[in-house]
Amino acid sequence: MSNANWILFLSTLSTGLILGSIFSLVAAGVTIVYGSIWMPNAANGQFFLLAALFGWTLTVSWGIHPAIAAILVIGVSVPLSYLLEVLLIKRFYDVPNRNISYFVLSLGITQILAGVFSLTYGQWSDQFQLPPLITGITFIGPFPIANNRLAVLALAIAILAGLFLLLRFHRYGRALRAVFQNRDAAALRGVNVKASYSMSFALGNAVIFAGGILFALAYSFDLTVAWTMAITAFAIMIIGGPGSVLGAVVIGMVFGFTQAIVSVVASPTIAAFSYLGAMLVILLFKPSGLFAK
Amino acid sequence: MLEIANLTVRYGAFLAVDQLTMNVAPGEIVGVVGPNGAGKSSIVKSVGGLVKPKAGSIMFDGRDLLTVPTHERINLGLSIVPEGRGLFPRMSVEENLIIGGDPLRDKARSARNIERCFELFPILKERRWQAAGTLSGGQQQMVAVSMGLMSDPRLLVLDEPSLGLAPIVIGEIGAALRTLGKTGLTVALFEQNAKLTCNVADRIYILASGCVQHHDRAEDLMKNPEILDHLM
Amino acid sequence: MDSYWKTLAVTATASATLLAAANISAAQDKPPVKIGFVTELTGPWSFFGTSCVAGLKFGEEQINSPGKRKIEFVITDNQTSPAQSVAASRSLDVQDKVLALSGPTSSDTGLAVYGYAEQNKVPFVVPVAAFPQLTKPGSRYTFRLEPNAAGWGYAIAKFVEKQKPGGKIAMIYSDYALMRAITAGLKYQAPLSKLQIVADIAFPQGSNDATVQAAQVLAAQPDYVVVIGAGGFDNTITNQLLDIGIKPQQLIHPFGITTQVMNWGKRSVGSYYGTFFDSNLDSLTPEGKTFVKDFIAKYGRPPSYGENFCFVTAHVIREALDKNPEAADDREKFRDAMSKLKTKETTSDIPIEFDKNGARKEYIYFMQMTDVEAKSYKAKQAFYAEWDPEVIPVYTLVK
Repeated sequence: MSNANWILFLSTLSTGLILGSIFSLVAAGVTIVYGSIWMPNAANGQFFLLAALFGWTLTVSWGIHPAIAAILVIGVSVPLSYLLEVLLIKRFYDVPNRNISYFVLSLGITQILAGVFSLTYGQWSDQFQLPPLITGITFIGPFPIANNRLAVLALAIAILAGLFLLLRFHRYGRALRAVFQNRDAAALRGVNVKASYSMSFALGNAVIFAGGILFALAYSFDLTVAWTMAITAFAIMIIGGPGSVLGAVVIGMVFGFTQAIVSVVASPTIAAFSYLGAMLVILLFKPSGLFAK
Repeated sequence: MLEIANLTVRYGAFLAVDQLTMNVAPGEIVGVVGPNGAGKSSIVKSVGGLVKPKAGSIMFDGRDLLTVPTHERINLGLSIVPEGRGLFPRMSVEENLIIGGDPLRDKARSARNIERCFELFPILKERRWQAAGTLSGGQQQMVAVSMGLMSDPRLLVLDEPSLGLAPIVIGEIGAALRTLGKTGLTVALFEQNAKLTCNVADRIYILASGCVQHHDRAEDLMKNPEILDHLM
Repeated sequence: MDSYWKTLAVTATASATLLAAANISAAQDKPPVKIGFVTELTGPWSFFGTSCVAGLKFGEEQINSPGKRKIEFVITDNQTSPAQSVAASRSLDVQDKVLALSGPTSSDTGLAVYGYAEQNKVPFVVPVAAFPQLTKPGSRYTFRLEPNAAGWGYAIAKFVEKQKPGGKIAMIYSDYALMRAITAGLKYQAPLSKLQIVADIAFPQGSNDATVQAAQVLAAQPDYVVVIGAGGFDNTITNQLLDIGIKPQQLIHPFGITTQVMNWGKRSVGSYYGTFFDSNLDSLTPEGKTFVKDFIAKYGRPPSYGENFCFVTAHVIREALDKNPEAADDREKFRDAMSKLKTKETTSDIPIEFDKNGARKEYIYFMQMTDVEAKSYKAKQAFYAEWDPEVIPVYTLVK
């Protein structure tokens, strides 16, 4: 292979991995929340953006180191989720038509957050960029890659691995999955279902926030990223099977690689709708998603 | 041990359980038989806390169960295997059992209990890494009973363990229940299958339309099968 | 004799003063002239709308000096929505009875107001919107301060032709109407300027990664890369091109606004951007320098061409009315006044005059970034071009 082809190949690979791992994180967060409370949160994309904007304020406006900012952003998601849950979401758990009620509520939250962002951040800049976690460039063969993006990739994979271990081997993680799979049986086996709702809401949002801040560290962004990410995350969740974190991770990676590969062999425009097209085809043959039981 | 008095469960206009009174004494196996819709599952769900009764009381060891949140009832020594088996289908057999043992908060004891379950149902040991949802119906029921036993309960409540199983498998489940009874475990078996119940239970309540129609020792009922036939 | 002349002089002075006073009070007694300003205060384009209003406010303060008939801008939010823009235009036309409309800073909302204005014969002064069709042949009531985007593409070709005759250009851009117009102009002019387009990569809206395309650009070995990402994506593309080894000196951004230039950051020093006004221009007038100074004092950053055009809009309207006072109460007369107007940018002395379609005699600066600080940047003028709006067939190139 010539150098140019190597560069193309390695850039496709790195793009697929970075985008894929961020997609996986966000979709995993979305699927954890949806899988446990079975209420679709349309405001996921805005939460993602909120994390990115928090990160921007902390680093650019307040001059905090991006690594500390990232920890603070992920940390702040827990009390924030708890507050949101206590104030708003708890009320919907026992409402008969809670799905649609909650969906409409979350659409409202989406609009309010979008309005707030546009009135505040929207007037400060049309685009946002965080300082890098680390500087410098590493050459992989002929292909130069920013160390910052390698760091983001490593963090994303580490968080995904941590999440996976937590869900698979820790009793809290097991309790969450038990509630995903059979709520009544979980309650009979001693799982406090409402507490697990709170926990999965907090955990899911923490993962979405982690996705948001990592995205902001790797890419510049503007306020429209909320919508793109909301649609992408929902698509991944539906294909992967709602409630399946493994499905979210696998399909997230598939989306990342699809986008990278199709955009180089066809065009970025085709890549953008290729995975939504794939979603339609998959749902046609397996309406419940690939990893759902 | 379990005393239910004047229990009434209503779903809207439908009266599922009507002022029912029954009890389970320590060490005995009590059967509750009745056709579909007689109110068996509603009683189990009330005991478990999945359904809120309209009236009546449920006492467990002298404690008012209705004031105990659903997820804490298992800590009192009350283990319920609900209708439909209550498994976590995408988890392995072993993980299901681990969850069953979680209330113990004791990994070593939980591991010992897993081995005991494997002794009771050897086939489960072979299938321990398989997702529970992919097992046959009988094996799933074995997992369900095992999961119920994992927390070392003093009272095990089973709802329709024979549902959808082949006769030979029902026989195996019955044998297991008798073995358990001999260890001194108290069992409340809610069943449609009168034959299985009579084989296992010491005492039987016959239920219809949410009321107790008849109540007798199992051996006496066996002597008068026409009562059974009639009432069912 | 002396005393006679003195008396006469005194009388004349007195009556002149009186007359002037009468004029003043006549002007002040008249109700203010209302201009409907429909712009993006919320929605994705809010940054541009609110920045524009910031520029306008400085202008509004200056043009309403005592003794002149007051010009009042009725500022209305269009939520970055074409439908809302039309609704706001209608309400300003029918209820507020404004003399003219102005304000939109995006081509989408601009086109919506354009449709309303032309149909209902309301003069429409466009401060910042570059889509060519806003001044398509037959437009009568629309006057645009910003040069049209296809022309910018023409100017980029001219710039590269001067920098490197026979040069190779790669284009990497978001697929928006504005970017399509710029690249259409560039693609048209490139062969005429003996330049070669070696890569043409368009991204859909909402894209967030260009690593692979940056590699494709590198592989095409261009002399210059024209980068036009939308919003935050512009920064992503820029960084990824620089990451992969494209030199800043190879980058041309067709337009650079202050926040964008500062966001490109130190690593972009050496790259070029097009603009119609910049705080680093050599040719700033004293008014222009004051505008820059006052703007920095209030908003903590230098103004961009958008704020400048909105600032200038206020002055242009003032001048049209000062030269034709009767136009203040008559839309047709105001239209004629705008059409005849020959003036200059308040801030940089560049001539402003409109052709029969309301398009302006066009121009662009290419600046080269020389330094970036936290809240400011430095750039030097590298190229200037002026051209006739129809030097290339802009209205057939971009429909």
